Amino acid sequence: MGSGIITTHGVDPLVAWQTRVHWFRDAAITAAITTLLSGSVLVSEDGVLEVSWLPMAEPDSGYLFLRRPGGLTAEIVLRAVGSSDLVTHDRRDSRPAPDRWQSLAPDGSTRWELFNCVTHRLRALRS
Amino acid sequence: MTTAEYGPVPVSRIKEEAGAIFHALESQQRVLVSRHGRVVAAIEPASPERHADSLIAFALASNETTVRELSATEIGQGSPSEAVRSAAAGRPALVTRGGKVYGVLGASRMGESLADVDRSEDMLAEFEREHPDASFDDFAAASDEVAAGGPARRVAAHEDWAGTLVDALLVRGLEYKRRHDVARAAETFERAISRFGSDPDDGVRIKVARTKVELARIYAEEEHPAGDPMRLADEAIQTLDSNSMR
Repeated sequence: MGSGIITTHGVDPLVAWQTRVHWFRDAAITAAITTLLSGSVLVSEDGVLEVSWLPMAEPDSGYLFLRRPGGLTAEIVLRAVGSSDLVTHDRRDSRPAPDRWQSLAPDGSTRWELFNCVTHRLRALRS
Repeated sequence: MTTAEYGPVPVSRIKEEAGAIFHALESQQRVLVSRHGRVVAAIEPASPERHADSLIAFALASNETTVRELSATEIGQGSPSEAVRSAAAGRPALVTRGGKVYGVLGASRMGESLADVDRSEDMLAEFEREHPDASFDDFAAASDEVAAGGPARRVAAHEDWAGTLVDALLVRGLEYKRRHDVARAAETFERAISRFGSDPDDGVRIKVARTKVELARIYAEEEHPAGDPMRLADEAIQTLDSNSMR
């Protein structure tokens, strides 16, 4: 389980974005955001819950999309940081992003586990 | 991101979501396309600033220009993975349905910096403080607003889009006329008038008026049996007169 996930103000994003997370009226998306930002493993599957990454110009930064087709999409902007840059028990370096957060499960699905990163924004897309 | 988005849609699901994708493009949303968990391409609503050359080349449809096209029919017939691969490699394609250009499939853009993101997050946080009882729709609207730079920018985008399409159809019609293919020229002008004849934007209305003048000229010169050049000319005069009074 990952740790060292904080906002730009240094607080737990699930606390900072508590109201916003619950504005998503889609229980599956709310659960996915909570799972991911708490450092637990989230499984991505096309047509069910799709997780994808779009890099930004700044290194190790990008948009992480959590999407339920026919439902809603949450966009979280993330920046990977080294463990020495944070007060964290997780000694893993999350760079380069998103490779260190992403792994293939034996059944072919993709697993996402966040650790040592700064969350910059959470917003909704109407997909 | 600099505008409202739809998706990301995995390449494997573009066919299933084709209807929603075209609806999103009509609503001026950028459609993101992903493969294996990475956003690899985007379909942007066509805009004159970014896609003028492609639109005009498509409108002219000459043998000298080869503009790649991904039609709704092709999407419905199978996976558009080859077109997406090409777009990601820098070879864009126009996304069309019924002969109309809805968007341009190209490499995904990364226009926003982290500083931009932080500014927009501050705006969302302020919205959250001021509207703690907001609904999801309010939140989604605020998210769109923050990303798109406000409603004025979106209205401007529609005007640019409609104006450029009328321009493109006008160029295509004039080119058919130059080639003495009068029937196709008339058909192209009629299409522009039919689609944009009731557009409320002044700039678009003036372009439609010019198209009506060109169509009226063809009807008059060809003594078209069903055409009514006088009515078209009167409508164009009325539009231009009313605009000059403002």
